[in-house]
Amino acid sequence: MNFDDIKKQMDATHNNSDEIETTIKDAKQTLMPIHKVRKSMKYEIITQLFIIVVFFAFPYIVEIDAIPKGFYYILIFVTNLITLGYLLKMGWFLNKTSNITLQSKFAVLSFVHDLKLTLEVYKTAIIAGSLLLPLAIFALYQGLVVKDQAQFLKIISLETSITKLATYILVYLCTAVIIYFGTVLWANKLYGVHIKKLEGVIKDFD
Amino acid sequence: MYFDTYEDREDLFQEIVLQLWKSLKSYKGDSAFSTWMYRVALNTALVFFKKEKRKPDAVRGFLVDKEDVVSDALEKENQLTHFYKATKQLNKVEKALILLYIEGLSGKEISENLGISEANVRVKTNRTKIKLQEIIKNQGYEF
Repeated sequence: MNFDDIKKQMDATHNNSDEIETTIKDAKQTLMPIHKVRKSMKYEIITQLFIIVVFFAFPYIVEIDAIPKGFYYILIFVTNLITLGYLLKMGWFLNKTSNITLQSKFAVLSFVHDLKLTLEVYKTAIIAGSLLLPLAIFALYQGLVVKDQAQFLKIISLETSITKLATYILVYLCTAVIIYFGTVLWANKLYGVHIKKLEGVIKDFD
Repeated sequence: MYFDTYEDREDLFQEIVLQLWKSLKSYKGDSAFSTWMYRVALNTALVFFKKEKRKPDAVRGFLVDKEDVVSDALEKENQLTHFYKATKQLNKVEKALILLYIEGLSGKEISENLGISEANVRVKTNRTKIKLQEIIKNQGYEF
C-alpha cells in the first residue's frame, strides 16, 4: 500500500474549498459532549427553579393549615438552597471549559474528568434536593387534605405509635431508594453515555 | 475519514471551526499555527460523537457500480474509495494515527500531538497499517 499515492489522491479530491459551505455563523451551538451535557443541565436547572417557584406559590393559591404550611416552607427553602448551591457550582464548572488544545490523550482525559465531576455534582444535588421533597409533599398533604394540626404535630414530634412511625420511615426509605436509583439511572442513561464513549477512546490510546 | 455521511462531516467541520474560534485565545505561539490548528481539529474529532444511525452504504453502492470499470483514473478512485471504506473500521485513535502518518508527520511529531510515546506511535502505526491492508484484502482488493 502506497500512502504517498493515497495522500496525493486525497489532496486532489479535497481541493474544492466550496465542498462544505459553512461559516462560523452557522455554528450556532457546540455539539461537544461536555457542552451538550452542560446545556441539558442548564435547561434542567431552569425547570427545577420553575418547579420550586410553583412549590413556593402553591400554598398561596390553596388554603393550608398554618403548622404544615410552615413546615412545608422550611423544607422547600432548604431544597431551594441546595439547588442554588448546585447552580453556583455548575457556573464554576461552566467557566472551567475543557482544554481542547492539549495533547490528544490528555484532552480526552480532561473531558472525561470534567464530565464525571459535573455529573457527580449533578447527581448529589438532585438526590439531596429530592430527598426533602417527599417530606414537603407529606406536609402539604397533611395541611391540605387531612387538616388535623394536632395529628401533624404528633407525627413531627414523633409522638405516635412505633408501628406508624416504622411505616412512615419505611415508606420514606423506599421513596428515597427509588429517587436515588431513578436519578442515577436517568443521569447515566442521558449523560453517562458520553463518558463511556470517551473512555473507549482513552482505551484505544493504550 | 471520521464520518460516512455529508451531514455528519459538515457537523464535525462546524464543530472544528467553532472550537478553533473558541480556543484562539489560548494559542501562545509555542508551536507553528498549523500544528496547533491540527491538534484542535484532531482533538475535536476524537471527542465528537454523533448518534449512531443506519444509513444506506454509499461506498458499497459506488463499488458495485464501478466494479467492471478498469480505466486508470477509476482504478485510483477505487483505491481511495477502498481506503476510505477500510478506515471506517478503524477506531478513532487509529484513524488519527493514519491521518497524521499520511500528512507526513514524523514519529516524534505524532507522539507530541497525541500524547503517547514514540515507541507506542511506531507500534500502533505498524499495527494499523497491517490492519488496513487486511481489511482491504478482505474487501477483495489489493494495492
